[in-house]
Amino acid sequence: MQIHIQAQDGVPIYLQVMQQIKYLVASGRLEPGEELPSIRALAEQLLVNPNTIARAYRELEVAGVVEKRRTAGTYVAENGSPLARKERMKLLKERVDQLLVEAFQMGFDLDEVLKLVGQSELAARNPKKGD
Amino acid sequence: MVNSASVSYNQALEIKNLSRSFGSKQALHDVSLPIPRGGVFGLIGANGAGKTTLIKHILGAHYAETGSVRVFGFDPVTHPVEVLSRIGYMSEDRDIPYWMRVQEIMNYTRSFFPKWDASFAEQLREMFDLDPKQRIRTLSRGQTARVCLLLALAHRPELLVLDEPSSGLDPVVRRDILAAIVQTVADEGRTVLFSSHLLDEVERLADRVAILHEGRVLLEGELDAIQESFRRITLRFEQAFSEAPSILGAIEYRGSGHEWTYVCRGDREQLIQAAKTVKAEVVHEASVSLDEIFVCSVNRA
Amino acid sequence: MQSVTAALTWEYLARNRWMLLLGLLLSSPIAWVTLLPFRDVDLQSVSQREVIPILMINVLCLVVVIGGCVIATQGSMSSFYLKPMSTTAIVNFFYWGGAFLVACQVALMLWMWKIFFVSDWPIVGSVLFAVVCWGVFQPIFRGSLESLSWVIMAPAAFLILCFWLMAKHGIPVQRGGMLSPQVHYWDSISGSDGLIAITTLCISYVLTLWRVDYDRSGRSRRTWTDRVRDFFASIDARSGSRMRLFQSPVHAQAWYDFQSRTATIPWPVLSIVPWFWLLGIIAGAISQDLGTGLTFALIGVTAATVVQIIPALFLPFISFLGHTITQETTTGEHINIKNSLSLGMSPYLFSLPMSDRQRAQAILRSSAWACGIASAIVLLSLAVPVGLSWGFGADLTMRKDEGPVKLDVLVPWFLVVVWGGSLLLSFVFATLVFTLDFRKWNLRDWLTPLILIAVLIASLTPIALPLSMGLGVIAAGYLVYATVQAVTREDISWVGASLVWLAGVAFFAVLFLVSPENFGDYGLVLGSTLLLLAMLPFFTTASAIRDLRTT
Repeated sequence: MQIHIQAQDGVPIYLQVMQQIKYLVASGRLEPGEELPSIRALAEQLLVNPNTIARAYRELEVAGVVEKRRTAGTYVAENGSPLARKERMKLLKERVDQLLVEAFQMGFDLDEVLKLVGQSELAARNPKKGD
Repeated sequence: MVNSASVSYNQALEIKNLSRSFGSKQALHDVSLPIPRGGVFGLIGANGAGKTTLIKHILGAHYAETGSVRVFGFDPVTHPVEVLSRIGYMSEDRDIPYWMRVQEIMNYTRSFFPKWDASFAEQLREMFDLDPKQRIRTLSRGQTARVCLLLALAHRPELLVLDEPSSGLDPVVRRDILAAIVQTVADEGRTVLFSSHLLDEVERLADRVAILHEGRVLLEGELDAIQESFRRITLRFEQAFSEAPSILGAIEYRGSGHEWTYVCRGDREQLIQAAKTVKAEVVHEASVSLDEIFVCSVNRA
Repeated sequence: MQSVTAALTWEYLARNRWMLLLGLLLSSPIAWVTLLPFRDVDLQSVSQREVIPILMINVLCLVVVIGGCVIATQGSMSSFYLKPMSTTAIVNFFYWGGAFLVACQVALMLWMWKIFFVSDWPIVGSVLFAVVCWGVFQPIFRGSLESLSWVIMAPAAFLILCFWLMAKHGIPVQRGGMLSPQVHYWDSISGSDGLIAITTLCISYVLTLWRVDYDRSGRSRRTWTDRVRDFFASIDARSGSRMRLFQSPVHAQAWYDFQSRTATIPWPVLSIVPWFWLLGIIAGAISQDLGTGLTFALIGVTAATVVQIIPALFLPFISFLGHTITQETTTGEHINIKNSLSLGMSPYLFSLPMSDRQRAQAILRSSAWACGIASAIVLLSLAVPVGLSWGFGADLTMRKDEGPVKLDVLVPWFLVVVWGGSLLLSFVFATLVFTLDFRKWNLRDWLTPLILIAVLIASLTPIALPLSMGLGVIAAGYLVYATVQAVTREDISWVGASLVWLAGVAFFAVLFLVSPENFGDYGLVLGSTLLLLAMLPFFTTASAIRDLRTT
C-alpha cells in the first residue's frame, strides 16, 4: 500500500492517511475485502504515531470505507460501492475544480478544456496512436 | 507521597507550576504539563527555551524551586531508583563514557536495570550493526547515537525520554530513532517524551505537544486539536493596502496590496464576519502546519 | 604583540591558569609529609647525609608533579595541527615554553622548602635536573604512539635520570655510596654536568620534532591511554573475564569508578616499584653489597609511596575544574563539554537508577580498593628488603665508619609513617570531592582541607601541639555531626556506622601503641587527625552525591 505523508503542508496526518486510503479504494487499487496493514506495521512504515493511524482507521470505519473483523484485522469494506461512488465523485470534483482554476488562469475557456479532455480520452483508449 | 504512588497512575508525568531560575536567568516559568500514559509527547522550543532544563527536572537532576514534578507519582529527587528504573533516557550530548567498549557499556548499564532484556539488546545491537569490541570513542556520531538509543530501549522503559534525539544525525540514524519511538508507543501503556526543534518529526509522531518559549508554555494540547483550531485565511480586499488592515481574531498576517493572509486560532467564524464588514472576500482557506503555528506563537509572545 | 606565539601564550594562560597553579599546590603537601617528621629529629641540613635520600625523593616527586601539571596545562599538541604554524614553531612553543615553566615552578617550590625545612638546599642543580627530565620525557609523551614501546622507554629514561641524580651524591655503586662525605649535593655544577644537560636537551628536542612531525602527517591516531587500556584488556581477555557481567549496580558502579577515576592511584606505584628493584639489584651486584642494593630499592619504594598521593591529589582538582564546566551548561545555553567525567558523575550516570547510598558505597569501595592495592604493593616491597636484610644479615642502615647516622632509627618508622600517611592521605584525597562541595563556598564544605592545611601549618608555630590538637578536636566534632546526620538521613545503616567507628578506634589504638616516642606528640595528633578525616567520607559521600545529582 503506497501512502506518502507530507508533514509540512499543514493537513493533519490522520486526514492525509484517510484521504489516501479513500483514494486507493476509490481508484480500485485496494479491492473490497483486501486486508489493510496492521496499525503498528503502517505506523512503522510511515514513521508516524500509531495512534494517528488508529484514528484514521477508526474514522474510515465510521465512514464505511473499511471494516474491522473479529480476527482483529482491518479490511476494505465489501459493500462499500455506494459510498465509494460518492467518494469517487467527490475526489473527481476536487480535481476538476483544480483543473478549471488552472485552465482559466492560463486563459483557456470551458470549450477548449472540454475539447482537450475529449482528445485525451481518445488517446487513452488508443495508446499506440497517441504515442 | 509513597501511598499516592502505589495508586495506579494514569499520568506518566505530572508537572505543576514548575519554576526554576539559574542566577538571574529564569529558565522555567510556571510550567504545568500533564503527560498522560501511552502516547508521544513532543516538546517544541528554540535552543535555550528550557526544554533540557525541563527534562532534567524529570530525571531529578534539578530540584523544583517552586511547584512539583511527579513521575509515575514519585518525586524524582527523593525517589531516584523508582523513577529512573522506569525511564529510558537519551541525552542530546550523548555523553556516554567514551572509553568503554560497546559490550562493556551494555553490561554496565544492564546491571542497573532488573528488567533489562538481554536478547532484545542483542537484537538491537545486530540491527544497528555495532561491533561489541569497538570503543565508544572510535564510533561515528551516528553509531554513538545508536548505542545511546540501544541503552535507552533495552530495558523496555515505561517512559522513553529523548532530548533532541536527532540533532546532527544523518537520515538513516534519524529513521532508527523515529522507528524506536513508534515501536515504544505501539506497546500498550508506554510513553514517549521527546524534545525537538525539527517540527516535521514532531508533527509525524506526537499525540500531544507543548511549545516552550523562554521558559513558558505557550501552547499545550493534542496536536490534532491544535492543528484544527488554527486556520490560514487569505482575504482579497477591494482596495489595496500598504499595511495589513486589522481584522478581529487574527493573530498573524502577511501579504501586500489587495491580498492579505491571516492566521486565526479558534475563532474562524468571527474572522470571516469581520472580513465581511470591511468588504473582503475569502479567496483561500487552509490548515496551518506546526511550523507556522510555532512561529506564530513565538512571535506573539 | 600580535604574533602567533603571543596569542597562544595568552590562550593557554587564560584557559589553564588553574592547572598551572595546581602544580604548586600539589607539590607542597608532599614536602610537608616527607620533611615534617624530620623536624623532630633535627635533620635540617644537607650536610647531614641522611637527608640526601629524602631530598632526592622530594626532587623526584616535584619533577613528576610539576611536569605533569605543565603537560596538563599545555594540553594536546594536536589541536594546533590545524593552525597555520610550522611543526617547529609548535614544538618550540611546547618544548621550550614548558621547560621554562617547569624551571620557574621548581625553583619557586625549592625556594619555599629552603625557607621552611632545609636551609642549605641547592636550587640551581635541582632546577637543571628538572629541566632535563622535562626534555627527556617530551619525545615519549608527545605525539601518538605506534606501539607500547614507551612503556619500556619512559621508565628506562627515568631510571637513567635517577642514576644521574644519585651519582651526584657520590658513586652509588661504591661502598659507602651516597653517604660518603666526599660528595656534594648539586651545589656546584661541573662543566660535564652542563654538557650532559645541554646534549640531552638537544637530542630530546630533535626526537620530539621528529615524532610530532610524524604525528602531524596523520599516520597514527591513538592516545597512549587507549594503548594502556588495550594492553590490560588483552591480558584480561586471556583470563577470560573481559566483558564481565556485574553482580549488582554497586559492583558495576565501583568498576566504573575504578576504571575512570581511582585506578590512577595504584598505577604509578605499580610502574615505579619494579624499576627501583631492578636498579637495586644492579647496584647491589656491582658493589657486591646487599645493603647498598636494598637501599636503592627502599628509596624507590618510598618515592612510590609518596607518588601514590599525587594522583589522589589530582582527583579533587580535576573534578573541580570539570565541575565548573558543567555548571555553565545548566544555565541554559548548551556548550558541548567534556563534562565532569573525572568525577565519575556524568549526566548519563545520573540517569541510571541507583540510590545515592549505593552510589556512595561504590565510590568508597573503589577508592579503598585503589588505595589498598597501592599500599599493598608498597608494604610487600618493604617487607621483602627487611626480610632479606634479616635473613642475610645485611646492614640495611648503612652505618659506615664515618659520621653519625640516624638511619637505623629512621628507616623503620619513617617508612611506617610514610606508608600509613600515604595510605590515609590518598584515601582522604580520593574521596575529597565527596566530603566537600566545591560549588558551595561555605566553611562546612571546606573543613577537610582547611583542617589538614591548618594542622600542617601549625607545626611551624611555637604552639604547634595545642593548636593541632584543637584542630583535631574540630575534626572529631565534625565527624560526630556528620555521623549523626548520615544515620538520620539513612545514608548509612546503624551497623555500618558502628563498624566504621570501630575500625577507626582500632586504628587509633594501633597508632597510639606503635612507639609514641618515635612519632612524637605532634605526629600523633597529625596521625589521628588524618584518621578522623579518612573516616569522614563514609558519612558524607551519599549526601554529597545527592547535592551533585540534583542542583
